[in-house]
Amino acid sequence: MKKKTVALFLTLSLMLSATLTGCGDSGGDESSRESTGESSQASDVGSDEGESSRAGDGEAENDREEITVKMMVTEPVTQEMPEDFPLLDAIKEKFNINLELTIVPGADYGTKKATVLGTADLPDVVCGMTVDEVKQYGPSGMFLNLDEYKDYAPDYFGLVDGEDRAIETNKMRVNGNLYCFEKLEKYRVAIAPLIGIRMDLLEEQNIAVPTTFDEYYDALVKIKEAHPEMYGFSTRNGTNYLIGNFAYSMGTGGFPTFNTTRGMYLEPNTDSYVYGPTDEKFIRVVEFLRKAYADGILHPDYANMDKDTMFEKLSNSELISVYDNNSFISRTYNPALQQINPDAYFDILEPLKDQDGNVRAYRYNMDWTDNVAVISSRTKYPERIVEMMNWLYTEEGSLISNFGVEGVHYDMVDGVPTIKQELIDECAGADDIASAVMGKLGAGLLGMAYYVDETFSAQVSDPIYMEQAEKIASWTEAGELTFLPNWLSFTEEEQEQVTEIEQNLSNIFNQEIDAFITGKKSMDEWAVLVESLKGAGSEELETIFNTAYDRIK
Amino acid sequence: MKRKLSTGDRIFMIAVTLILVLVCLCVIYPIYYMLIVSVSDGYAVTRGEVSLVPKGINFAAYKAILNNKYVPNSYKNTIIYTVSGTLVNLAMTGLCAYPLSRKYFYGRRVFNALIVFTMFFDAGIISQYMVVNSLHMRNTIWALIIPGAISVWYMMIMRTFFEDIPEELFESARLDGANDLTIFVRVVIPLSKAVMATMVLFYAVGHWNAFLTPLIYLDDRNKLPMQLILRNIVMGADASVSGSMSISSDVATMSMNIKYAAIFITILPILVVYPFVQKYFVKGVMVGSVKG
Amino acid sequence: MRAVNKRREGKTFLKNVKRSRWLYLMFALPFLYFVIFKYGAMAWLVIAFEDFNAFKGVFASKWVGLKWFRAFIQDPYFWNIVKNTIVLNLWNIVICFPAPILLALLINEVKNKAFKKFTQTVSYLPYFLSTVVVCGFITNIVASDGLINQILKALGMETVTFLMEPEWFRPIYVISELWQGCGWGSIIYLAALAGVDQQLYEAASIDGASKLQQLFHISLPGIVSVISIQFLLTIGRILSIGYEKIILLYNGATYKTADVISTYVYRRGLIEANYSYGAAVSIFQSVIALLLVVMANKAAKKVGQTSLW
Repeated sequence: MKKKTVALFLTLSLMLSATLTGCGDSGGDESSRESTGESSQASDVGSDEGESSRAGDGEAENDREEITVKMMVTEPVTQEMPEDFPLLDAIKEKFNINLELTIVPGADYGTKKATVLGTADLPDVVCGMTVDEVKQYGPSGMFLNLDEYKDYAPDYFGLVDGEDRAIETNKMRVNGNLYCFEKLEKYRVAIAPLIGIRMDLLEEQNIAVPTTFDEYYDALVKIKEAHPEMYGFSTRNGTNYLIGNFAYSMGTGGFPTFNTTRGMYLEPNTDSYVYGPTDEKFIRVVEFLRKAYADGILHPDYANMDKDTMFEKLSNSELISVYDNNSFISRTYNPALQQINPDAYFDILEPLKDQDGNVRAYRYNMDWTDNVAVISSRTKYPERIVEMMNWLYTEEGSLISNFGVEGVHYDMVDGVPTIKQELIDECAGADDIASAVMGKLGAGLLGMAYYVDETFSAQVSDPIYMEQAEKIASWTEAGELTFLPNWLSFTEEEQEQVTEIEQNLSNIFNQEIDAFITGKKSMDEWAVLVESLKGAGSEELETIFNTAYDRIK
Repeated sequence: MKRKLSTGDRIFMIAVTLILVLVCLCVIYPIYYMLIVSVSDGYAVTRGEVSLVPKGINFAAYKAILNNKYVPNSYKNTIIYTVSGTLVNLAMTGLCAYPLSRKYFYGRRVFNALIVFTMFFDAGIISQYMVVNSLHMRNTIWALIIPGAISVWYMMIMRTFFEDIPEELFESARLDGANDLTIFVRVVIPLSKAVMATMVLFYAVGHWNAFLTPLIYLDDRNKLPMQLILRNIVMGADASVSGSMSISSDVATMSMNIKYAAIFITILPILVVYPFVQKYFVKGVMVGSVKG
Repeated sequence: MRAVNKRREGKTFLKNVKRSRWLYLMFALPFLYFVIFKYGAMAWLVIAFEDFNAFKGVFASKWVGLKWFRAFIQDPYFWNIVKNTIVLNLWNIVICFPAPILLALLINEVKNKAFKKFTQTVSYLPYFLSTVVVCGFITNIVASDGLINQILKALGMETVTFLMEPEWFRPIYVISELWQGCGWGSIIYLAALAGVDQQLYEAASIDGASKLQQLFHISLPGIVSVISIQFLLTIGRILSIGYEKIILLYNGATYKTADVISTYVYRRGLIEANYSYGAAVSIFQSVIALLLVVMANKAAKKVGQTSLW
């Protein structure tokens, strides 16, 4: 026994010292080569690979020299990202570019990005960035300014500087520079946060489908009378998320959708930015929630309820309604509900009228601001990479990146690209056909498409879901639903102030708001809160926002 | 030889047993709950109907995880990283702790202070990344096992254990002409099985659960350890509730099941290994036997 | 006293160095490790005095002196978050630090091998659960219709919305820490107990010492050096608490007690990625913690306990 331990330990320390000396003289690249066979990634990406592959591969059809471009992408949690797919071949053929992908699991992509950005150790292209990150790191100069390469990206700039997108694009510009290729929508299945309500219970109580917030509230009260164990609504993301959903529709605003730390919103009536909580109409929202809490309409655990708990309460008839993404309804609550009560179902309500008789509500931003690509300003081949990215926005590039190769993966049927049945059959039995097929092709929104066409998803989607999408589209048409505007961008000095003020405001607001909703504080004290918010710089913040907004309008 | 217990001792033993039973109960229910959720029907779980017995037993969640094509390879990677990482940890920590535990080691106090100092001024992951990058260790196994080779906390514990070994044992070995390395290997290690076993457990669990270092240092998907792959699957189950368009409702409601199944897949190997470690906690392995 | 020590040290200097040559050899690798991976990386902390720009790098970023330290210390919430951090950690030290010791001592008393193994294995399981899962349990248990409120109701008492009440935050947090870490923490003490000389127990029981007396006079002194070192190391964390669990459990209504340094910095990080500010805060935490540890270490030495250096 003793001897064995000794031997084991000696072997270990020998092994260890051998490896450490191997790593110690790290000036040479021997250690990395012998350990993995893969070359280490020096900060100067691309260059060595470019040379070595040029030497090895003589017959390039393209007259341009063959280059290797490193690209970091995420494998989204719901869709596979293959190592090799049609788009890569097409890019090789067309641009003589070898795209070398670093594929990072989506669950932790944020951390990976933070490391890469925090050390400025970027590959040539980083995909799956958010516009917020672009704004945070853009001023450092680590991204390529696309405006300087406009001539190489006529198709992209044609789209983003077009009439319907120009202002929103300007909001993404950092100090006037555009750093990112945003995923744009060519055709999108509409999705929005809306009120979903138990239609069967409305029918049971003979209540007409509510069209105003008052009717909605009365309906909840009436159903609660018949079912005292039920609550009216709750939220899965804390108080500000709850407020954000209701506030804008009630004629004021603040904390739009997932911006739970941001009280600012764009008031369309005046086309200016307003800090919601100090707006006079904001009291409506607080009073609405306060009353709801007192009447047992708002669930008492609302402030800390997580998604799983909220879904549980919606699926076992503890909640009558919910203000959240319409997609949850057909996917989660309804099937779970109907297993025990076949007649029970949720459906979305048309956006409700506020006290003044106005109707307005947000749907999510146009395009995908949380999915953009940036190019490293240290890349050796800026022009060629910009050209390649631009090509993804052309008809040809869009088709390949959304549907694969014509005749192989899809056929044109009446001008509509239709994925071949064989391919769909191959994926039969998959949990999600659309993402299974797209995962094979590295295509679509979650793949490498930048001008995104969700036609295929629409073809295989749940009919209820498509019905809702059509409703959302028509309500958008009617002006009842508007796209959530992009967040503004600021100069560095502005940004520093904004950070400071926003942090102070949200600390004050967050500490107080629940006391008003739960009735611990009387509404007489609301004015005091408003004063202290103003004292913490809410008006100054509005000025900064509106100055920044005027610059780009 | 058994002695009869006094009344006081008997009360004492009953109290001990009662407290431990209570502790076990507090701990075991949540674990049991997760186990039954992981094998229950997704919708029943979503409705909150599973609390004492599983409902609609099925192993879909486990299948969903084990069918993932990256899981087998990543499991293998995790084992490699854990075993090699722990070996390096043990060797390095021992080599560090032993000299620091010797009173005559000149400079001992300074070294100790300098090492404790690093515990406070830990510059975080970004700076470590820069060091690892400049040593060209990125995307290699070394990046996972070298930068964390010594945990100051564990090293201090090991040092304390070494200090507690009676001085006479060293003296007698020294009289036999042994040098410090021989003493360390022949005397100290055999007498420190309990702390070594503990260190194996602590370090190994650290490697087993690690996801941050592999995430930032490895670029090649085939080198990723199981934790990263599992996290992706768990998140996928979560996201599919809202994420993509046409997902079947089976997956959509499995988020809780998969979350908990992933936990069991992670814990299981540790549960299997633990009894072997426990073996070294039996009493009287050291002083009694040698001194006698 | 100190002068005498010095002189003696001086005399034995050469002898000690010579005697230590094998130790130096052993220590070489670990020493190199600390120089490269700890001190090398530590250089990065200068960004706390800079307006760090990742693209320009540590050396070319603009020097701003104590700007970020000032920003942190002059923050209106500074005292509140520092106080909350310390108070929460004191709760931890009072409750979560002794618990594993106690558990280890109890497990050590168990004679039935199967029961002993079972308790040990089961008690450390919660350590492997992720924070999200643990917090999910907590919110369920303390929910308005959760276990605790149902018990309160059954006893005819008022229900409490625990997670909305500032005064309940600390107990909830500490109990969850205890639940999750107690068993795992006891492992180290079990290992230490394994090293206690068995003859001592036998001698004591022949002398008629009760089990309880043996526990206090043999078991506890046998592991006191490990306890002491663990305590000193724990003191070093007095200003740090991970934010993951707290952000899942707190809300605006409980900021008063729940908002700690890390959560505050985390919320700021949501708005901007400011590495310099983060580094400044971490240096502040380190300096305070270091001072405390130096003091605690002195005290430990005075009472003749194992010290850190």
